[in-house]
Amino acid sequence: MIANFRLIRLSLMTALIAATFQRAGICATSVTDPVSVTVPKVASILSSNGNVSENLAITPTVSSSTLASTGSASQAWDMRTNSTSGATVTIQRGSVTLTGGAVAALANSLSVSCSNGAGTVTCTPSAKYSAGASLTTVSTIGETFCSTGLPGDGQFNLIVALNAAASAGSGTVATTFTMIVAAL
Amino acid sequence: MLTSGYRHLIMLALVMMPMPLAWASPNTVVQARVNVTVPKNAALVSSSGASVENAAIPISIDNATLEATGQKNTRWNVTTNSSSGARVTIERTSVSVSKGASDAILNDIHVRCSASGGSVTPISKFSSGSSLNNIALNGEGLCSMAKAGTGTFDVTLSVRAPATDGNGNVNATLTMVVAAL
Repeated sequence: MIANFRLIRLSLMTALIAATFQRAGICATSVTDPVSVTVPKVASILSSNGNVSENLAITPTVSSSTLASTGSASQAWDMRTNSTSGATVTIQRGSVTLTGGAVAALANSLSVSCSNGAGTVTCTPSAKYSAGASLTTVSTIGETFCSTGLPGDGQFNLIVALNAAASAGSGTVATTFTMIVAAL
Repeated sequence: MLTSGYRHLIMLALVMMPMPLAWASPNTVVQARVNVTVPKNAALVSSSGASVENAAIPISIDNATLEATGQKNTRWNVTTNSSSGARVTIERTSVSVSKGASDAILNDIHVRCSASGGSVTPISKFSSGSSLNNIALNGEGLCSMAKAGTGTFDVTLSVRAPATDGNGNVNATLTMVVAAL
């Protein structure tokens, strides 16, 4: 709507300039100026805090009897597009760093999922991330995380949850997710 | 003059063009850094889930020699999330001997540790068995586990006391402590 409004405003200003020329007695009594404005499809994404990067530190709770570790962290992200087809967000994972004795089983015990947030446009998680995927199965080259079908503001949550048995071991797991939004 | 008018219009269009672009932020890539640290832990409970078990040894007396024999077994589950495993130590309180039993009976009560599940390995001293008197008051290794997970071990108390040891009561408390490696 904003784009349409600006197009109308541009047309009105053009007409006003043409009328002024007529009042000044310019010999041309009629002018035609075809005006065309193309608003490109664009999309943007920021965290709900307005940042381009966020840290998700999970503080686990360890069961005193089973030593199972649980915990989660989430971050809301705001996406916006002017495309009438909406936008899609892809996610890709950096390398996973295991330190302090952590083993691959501990990384596999981290689940990554997506849920719709508080935006005016619904963000629909992909099936994989609606159900949740283990950290090590997140693509390192990018895959669909969620998408919208309309222009406007959507919000989605990136959730990372830990549910590790004692046998998964202890230590530190770290990685980086990169999310890219593109207008459809 | 007409040329001049077109120039104004074109400039107007150029001024207007960036405005729709400015409506959307150019930030199309964001990053989330994830970090989780699970601390090392270890836990030890009996197979019934208790942290304290009473090991009263039932005694059988041989009719001919009056030798007293008997044993009591308690199963313990050790769990750790440490990739290096865990170690269990055992320590003994002072032993009380009453009702006429002689101190010799302390040497005839044995404590033994055996693996019954998981990657538990008893310390050699307790694999073969140690007399109650020889258990350190300030703690010593009982068994260890080599990797994360749950293991099970048995602590067996046994008595084989000749008649010369006398009769009476022997009481002590054995405390086992587990630590992640």
